Amino acid sequence: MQCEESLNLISARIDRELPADDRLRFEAHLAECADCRATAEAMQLQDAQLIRAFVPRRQAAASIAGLVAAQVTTVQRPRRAWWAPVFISAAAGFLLAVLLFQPWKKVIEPEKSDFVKGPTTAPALVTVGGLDIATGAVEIQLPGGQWQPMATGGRVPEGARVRTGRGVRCEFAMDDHSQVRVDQNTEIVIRTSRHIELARGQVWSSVARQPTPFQIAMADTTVTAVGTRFDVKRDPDQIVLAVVEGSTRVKTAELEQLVPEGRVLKIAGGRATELEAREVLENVTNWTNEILMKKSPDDPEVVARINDLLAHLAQEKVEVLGANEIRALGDHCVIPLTRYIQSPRSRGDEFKRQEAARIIADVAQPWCIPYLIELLSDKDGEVRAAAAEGLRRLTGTTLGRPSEEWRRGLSADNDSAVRRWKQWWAEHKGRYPGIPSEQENSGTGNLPVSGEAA
Amino acid sequence: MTDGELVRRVLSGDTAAYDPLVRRWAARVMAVCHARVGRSDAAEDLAQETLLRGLRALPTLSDPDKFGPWLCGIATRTCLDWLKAAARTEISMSALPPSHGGESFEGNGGAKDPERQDEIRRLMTEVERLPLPYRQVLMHYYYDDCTYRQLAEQLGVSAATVNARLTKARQMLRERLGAGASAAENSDAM
Repeated sequence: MQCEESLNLISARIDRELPADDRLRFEAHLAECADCRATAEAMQLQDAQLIRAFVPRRQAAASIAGLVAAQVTTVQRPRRAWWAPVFISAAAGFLLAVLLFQPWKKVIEPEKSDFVKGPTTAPALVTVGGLDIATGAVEIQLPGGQWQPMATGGRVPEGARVRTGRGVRCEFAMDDHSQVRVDQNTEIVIRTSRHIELARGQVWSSVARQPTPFQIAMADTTVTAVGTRFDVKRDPDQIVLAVVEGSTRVKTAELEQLVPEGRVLKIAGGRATELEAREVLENVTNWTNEILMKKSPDDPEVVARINDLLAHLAQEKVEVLGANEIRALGDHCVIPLTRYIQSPRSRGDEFKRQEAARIIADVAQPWCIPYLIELLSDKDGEVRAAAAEGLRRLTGTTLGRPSEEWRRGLSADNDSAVRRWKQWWAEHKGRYPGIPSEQENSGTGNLPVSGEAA
Repeated sequence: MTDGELVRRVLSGDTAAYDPLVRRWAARVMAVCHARVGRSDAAEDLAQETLLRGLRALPTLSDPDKFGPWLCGIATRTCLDWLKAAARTEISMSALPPSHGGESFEGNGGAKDPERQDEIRRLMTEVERLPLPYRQVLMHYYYDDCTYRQLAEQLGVSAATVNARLTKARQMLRERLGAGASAAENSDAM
């Protein structure tokens, strides 16, 4: 046996992998070779050192396993797993419906010819708002009167009861500029523009700032808000309050507490329990999508909702897929990833934001140039630099500002450079095939274009 | 219970079944990450990220019995993404501080003697500096007590190659640490 062959067998013996066939030959070689014996001894010592060196590493692995297991138990992932696809499907459905049916182009007509047109109320009654949007037949009962159908545009007097049936949702524009959305199978009493009683079902309110508090009352529970958006659902045995924006104060016979933004509270049997906020919040307010679809695509809430849905789609991707798998999606991922970077969803996750920006820079096509220009205004230098790199790749120019300057640049310099890019795009987009010449890029400045422009 | 059975239980809503899965595979995932990035601190973060990603992506796993190799694939992709991001920050990896400068080596099997701690720290630094194929096989072996056959399956090589690479890795470590010690002795003497 040669010493070279013996070396592998020394290793194998340390690892308890020495083949039985080689054992005798190997032992015989060791007996007569002092160098190999010394090597075997040294490697045995080194193996003991390596085992010691890896003890803390193995402990770290065990700690991480424990940490992940604890996290999994705490966040109850499977609960998320069942609703996530549902939410994503709903989100995708909403986007598709908005894009395909373009509901803002349709005139909303009452479904029945016997609907009350125009003012619903007698002139003597004080009205507090009107029915703005309805997805079906809404009924109103004036004080002391009978239930009757109500058309969009109809006015609502103080003390009127309003109800919706199965599959019907609607929105009231109150005279104080608040909005009240009413879910299906819901009944409310509109006492004033600032006080609504929820008899059953679910309402979503966007409350205008006024000195008088805005209240939703249910039996012994009152939710009070000043300048906020929130959703209240009343079931026979519980009330669920979801605060979308601002804060609310909830008061029952047993408790009174402030519920801040992003929280969801379940009140049952005099006790309040907080639910997993973000996910439940999205779920409980999803029903308002149907009302949003009736609005103009320029409506700020529609724009914000679509952007959030796109950001959510991207968030699911960046959490599950590797960067290269997302790259493989091609330029389809540019808009969702851009909205993810711009969304509060990515706040605090610097690594994922930067990675998303790099993916965009790598896969963007000429139609994506306006999105890259948007990212030049990001607060993170790495995101700006990636966007600048993407623009350089697509346009062949940097407008005199290389990506390194975008990474470290002062905000005033960045702002003027963003204006130059917007101006450049306004002047050059016609040169790119597939870009409609009328494509708008809001906020285009009037600064002169750099001489470096192609 | 096999990996496949545990995976099916998780997918049917029994979250607790993910616990034995992560405990079974955490060391292997750490080995993949540590070998790929060559830094223990980053490897810990990446291993954690991998285990969480694995859970989220579990519904996409086509063969529950192949959970382990599938998870190691996620670990590799997570590390490659991290390395790419690190490279783009244009910070030289060698300019970064040692990964386990503040790490305590106390505990079961750990060395309390400062001299021995230093010895182990130098050894781990040299392990992290080995070329990828060698540190990969060495880390998998010492993190997870694998047999040559298991290592061969994981790394897609023959058992003989595993033996040869482990031998070469140990040889390189001896040479590097021996050279370092000699240099230190020489420098003390001057």
